[in-house]
Amino acid sequence: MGFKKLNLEELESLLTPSLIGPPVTHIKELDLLSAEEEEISEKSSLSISSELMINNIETLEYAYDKDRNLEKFDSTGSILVSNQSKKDRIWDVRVLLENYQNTNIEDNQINLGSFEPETNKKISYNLINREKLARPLMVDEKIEVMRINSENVKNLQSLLKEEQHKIVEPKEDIKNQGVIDDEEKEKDSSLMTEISEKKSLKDIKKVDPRKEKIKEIRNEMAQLKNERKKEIIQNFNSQIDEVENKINNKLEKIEDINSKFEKWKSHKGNYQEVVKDLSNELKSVQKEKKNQINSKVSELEKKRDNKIEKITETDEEKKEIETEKIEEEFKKQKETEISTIEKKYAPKLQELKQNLDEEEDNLKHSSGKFSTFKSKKKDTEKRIKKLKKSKSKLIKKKSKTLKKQLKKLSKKEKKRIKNVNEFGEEIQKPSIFERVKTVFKALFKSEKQPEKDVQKQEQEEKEEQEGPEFIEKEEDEAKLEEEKIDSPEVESSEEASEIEIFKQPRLILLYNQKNSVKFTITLENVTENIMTNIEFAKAFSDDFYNFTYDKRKFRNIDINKNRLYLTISELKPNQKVELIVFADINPDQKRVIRSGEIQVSYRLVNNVISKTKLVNAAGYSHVMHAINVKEKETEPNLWKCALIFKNNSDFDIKLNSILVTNQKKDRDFIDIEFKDKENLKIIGSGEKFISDEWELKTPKEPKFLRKLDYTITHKVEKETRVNLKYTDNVFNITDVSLEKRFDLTQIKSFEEADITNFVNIKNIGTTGVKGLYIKESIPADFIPSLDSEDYNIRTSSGKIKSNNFKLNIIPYDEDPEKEHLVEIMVNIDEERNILLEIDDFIKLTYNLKAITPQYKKYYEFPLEVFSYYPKFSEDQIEEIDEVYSVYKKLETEKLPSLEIVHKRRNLLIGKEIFPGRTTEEFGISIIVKNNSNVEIKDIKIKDTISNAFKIISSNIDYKFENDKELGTISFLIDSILSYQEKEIRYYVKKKSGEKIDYAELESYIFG
Amino acid sequence: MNLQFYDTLTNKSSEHIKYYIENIKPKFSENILNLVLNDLKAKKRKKDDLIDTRFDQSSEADLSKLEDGDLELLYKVFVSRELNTKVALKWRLYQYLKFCKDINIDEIHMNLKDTKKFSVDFIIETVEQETILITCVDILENDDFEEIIKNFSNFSKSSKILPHRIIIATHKTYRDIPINEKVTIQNNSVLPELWVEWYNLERPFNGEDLIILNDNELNIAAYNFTSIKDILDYIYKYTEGGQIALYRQIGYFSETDKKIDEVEMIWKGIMIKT
Repeated sequence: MGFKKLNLEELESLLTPSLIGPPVTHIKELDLLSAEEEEISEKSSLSISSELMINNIETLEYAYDKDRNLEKFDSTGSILVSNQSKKDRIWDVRVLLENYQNTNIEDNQINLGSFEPETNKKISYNLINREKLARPLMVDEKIEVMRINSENVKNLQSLLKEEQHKIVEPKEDIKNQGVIDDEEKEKDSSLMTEISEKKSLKDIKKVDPRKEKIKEIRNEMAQLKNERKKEIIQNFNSQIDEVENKINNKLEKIEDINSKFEKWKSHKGNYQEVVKDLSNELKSVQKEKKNQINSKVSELEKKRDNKIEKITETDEEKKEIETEKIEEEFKKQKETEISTIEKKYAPKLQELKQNLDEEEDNLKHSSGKFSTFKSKKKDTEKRIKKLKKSKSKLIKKKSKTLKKQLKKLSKKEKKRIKNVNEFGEEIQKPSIFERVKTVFKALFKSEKQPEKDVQKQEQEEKEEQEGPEFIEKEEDEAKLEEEKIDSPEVESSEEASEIEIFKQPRLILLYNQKNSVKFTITLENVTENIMTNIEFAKAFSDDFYNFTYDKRKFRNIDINKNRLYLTISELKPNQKVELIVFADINPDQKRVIRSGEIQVSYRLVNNVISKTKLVNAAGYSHVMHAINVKEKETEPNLWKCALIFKNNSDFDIKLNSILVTNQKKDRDFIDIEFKDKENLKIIGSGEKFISDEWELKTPKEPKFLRKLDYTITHKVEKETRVNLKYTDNVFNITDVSLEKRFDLTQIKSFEEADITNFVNIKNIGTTGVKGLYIKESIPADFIPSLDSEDYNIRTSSGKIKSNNFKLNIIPYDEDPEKEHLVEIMVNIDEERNILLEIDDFIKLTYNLKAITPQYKKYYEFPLEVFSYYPKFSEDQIEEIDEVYSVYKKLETEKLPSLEIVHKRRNLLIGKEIFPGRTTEEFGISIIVKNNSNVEIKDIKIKDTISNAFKIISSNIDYKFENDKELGTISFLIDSILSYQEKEIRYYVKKKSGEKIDYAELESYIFG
Repeated sequence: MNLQFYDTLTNKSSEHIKYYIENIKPKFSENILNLVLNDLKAKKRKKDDLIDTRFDQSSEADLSKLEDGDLELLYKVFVSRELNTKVALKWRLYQYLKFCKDINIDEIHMNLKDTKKFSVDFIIETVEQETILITCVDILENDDFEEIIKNFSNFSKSSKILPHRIIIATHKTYRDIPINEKVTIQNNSVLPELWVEWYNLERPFNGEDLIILNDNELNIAAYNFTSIKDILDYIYKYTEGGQIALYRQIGYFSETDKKIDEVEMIWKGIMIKT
């Protein structure tokens, strides 16, 4: 009736049928690597240089569940711009970015404005498009418990398949025995012989040629898969690298194009402004001229009008003549005035027009250059985009090809195993490993060989191997594949890669036994980046002890308080590290034992995972530039000129270009660009740049127009920090209790006896038992029942019918001279039904027959049981395909004892005649001696006495019967114990008048 | 494992089932047996909310009058324990409380009227004058937990009973029950207790065994107990204690096996009653 009061820890962790659901995963949050993180961040803050520092750091956190499904992903990024100078301000700081599409940054240019000395500004962002980011370090952990084998259900079923047919219907078999063809019989008998010689299922596996072949196939295919995987990765990686190089070249080019584009853009802008100014000036001068003319003309008109008004002549004719005179004079004056004004403005207007024309030419030139670089920029950007697209296509194709080829190989593996199981064809075949390998190699020579040739070669090889049907199918698949890649809905690279579903099998341990567990941990860099400072930590459960690993190979492993720490300085692309750790565990309580959480952190130095590129960072600080003009000592009016640029700031200054022209800009004295890598001009703090001298002959001190393009330099440090967390798994504890007994404890030697055999198997583990394989050895002189109906198997759910279990008796006969093996398989199928839930039991009952048990022999009836547990949980696969096999043998001291009782009687009955006191008296002694180990009962002894004698006395009761001639004396001894001796003594005396016949005295004795 | 399920029994004769019922310990009194059957069959509910059962000491129940249906029901609840409804669980808890050492019961009142899912099923007054409220649920889920606590609170208000302890007894439970968080009932902070019907997987006996105390001093069917602790509590309650040796006769109640007088010791020690 029991109830138990639970505390929280028990509720979360105990393994018992009363508690629903798996134990709570995170009992305690582990933070195995946090101490290291702090140290690293301190180091980072110390590594500051005295330049404009730009630190671009991205941090990614991945958390996976026990089946390696991504549960949580966090990512952040920051660009920290720091002015490290203690005295100089910088201003107009701009950061130009590229490839920022995997972040939430919206603009390619970020203006940060001014920085006071020793200040910094931080641009924070988040990473988006996780699926487009490079995959993190691939961490795989395979856990194997050394003494627990894994079996394929189909193989188990097939083991007894043929025998089962025969045994379930024994009568029919016996009837048809003569009809079975010789080949079949031979096959059966050979297999049965093999099985009968085995001591465990493990041995069966070892000896069965099919099993050996399956193992061989698996090994071959595993190797093949690995090689194939490597080939695909290598091939695609080389192609991807090539595209990457092209992208990088283009990126470098576009940097140059961009700067030229910017330059001509600014030139164009400048010229546009100058042209605008000049045309405005021209217009205003023209307007001024016009206004002056207009005012002069109106003044003259007024004078003319006054003069006309003052004419006093009355005579109309004279008046007309005078007016005409005035008009003519006015005309003359007007022309003179206009011409004077025009003369006055003519040179200015001419100069302005000339300047305007020049500037318009310049504008035209710069506009042309601007459009050229604009289209160049556009083309290059387009090209880069295209290259990036083809790179992403290649990555997608890589993972798809990987997936497809591995799937194909798995299919092939299954097919071959099926062949072995069903027909044994593969056993006869030579290894096709090499041939398949050649085909795969050929698949990837397409870059070097014409595609058609490769396909032809492939086809030939595959036809040889698979037949034409396979090729047609594959061609279709290839077409489909291409279509898929071209379609916009293709899976992302990471998603495609993640399709290689990781199935972490259920973990089991043997209860109360030392389990040796092998942890195979693989760290693989599947990216093109170099990973550094890899810190790996695993927290083993406290129950584990005796950790061993290859100390020669791994010197930097530290195991402290069941925490394993491994440091790897660097992992190159496609490089893999495999660490194998063995640990022992002896579970003595049925409770949660965890396999141990894994945490990994690493760095990508000089690399940000979002691929954000900092194209440029520009800004100004304290500089001085001047032109020194010096008249030559020996030649007056000849001037030696030079440009001086001095960096007065703490920063290194990068000079981009210097342009020195005359005022009209029609003569360049210096036009230098320092943008090529070869002639970069970096002016250190306090340093000067003095240009080459140029000469100019002019009476006055020459003046120049100058334009300098420069920026402070910067240093970029990029880093990606990746932290990975892998949730661990839980070990289930397996155990069954075995009991065996007989209904009889004693049987008689050399006598037939029927014995009932009871076997009880109870699941006392913490997980359900899928099926059982029970094996019992019946020694010679005993035979098991051959009728499957006699085998009664019962669980708590009721009786299991005979067609629901498989029975095999080897040899299948009733020959008591041979030892027999009884094998019973219960519930070995692919269904998900569990035979024995926790605490459930199975009872097996059947009859044995003792034929000629010998008391001098010691008989043993060993019981061996293989219990099978599903290897994968229901949510991983619907059907049970693989099971764990746990072997248990009933200890010898717990085996039922059967005493063979040997009871053989050995009786000695002797007679002795003693002379009496007289010659007529005799004492007769009958000795009864039991020389056996059994009690003998009811011993009747008869002695005959001549009638010449009469009985005087006897030491035991007797009966006397008298016949004509002889008397008979009878004795009954109720019991004589083993090795006991009893004496009967009686006295006779001659009757008077009778004559003694001594021969009669030695009469017949019967007993 | 307990005894096999009723449906899998080969022999379902009333004599056979009665034999198992006769061996249910602690034994039912006539009154209690009537209450058990009425409650299990969900009929003849009493008008009163709570029945004071006080571990009825009246005469031992007469099983001869039981019908086949009654026997089947009793077998399923107390022998094979295949019936795990709230009512079945309630009566199994009642049986357990009779010998449970953890609560020193002075009075026990049982709810036989209210059949709501989360009703308060027991009010216990201890010798130490503490009040304990118990609710039984077949399967406890996180959402149920909140409801049950609410129900305790409402019950406490309406009945003006201030509990010192509240217990949720269940057949099975999910693991996410917040049993480490105190709850407030009428301004009183109480830590809820979770009692789960417990089957000790490592107990040294099977339900089919007969448990023998010393030299046949006491013979008890093992299907009455799910752990060695239960047996010891029972012995503590119903014997004088002293030198204790417990044996099991394997498969004594097994239906299919031929009986073997195989006896093995499962516990030995001294029990001092205080």
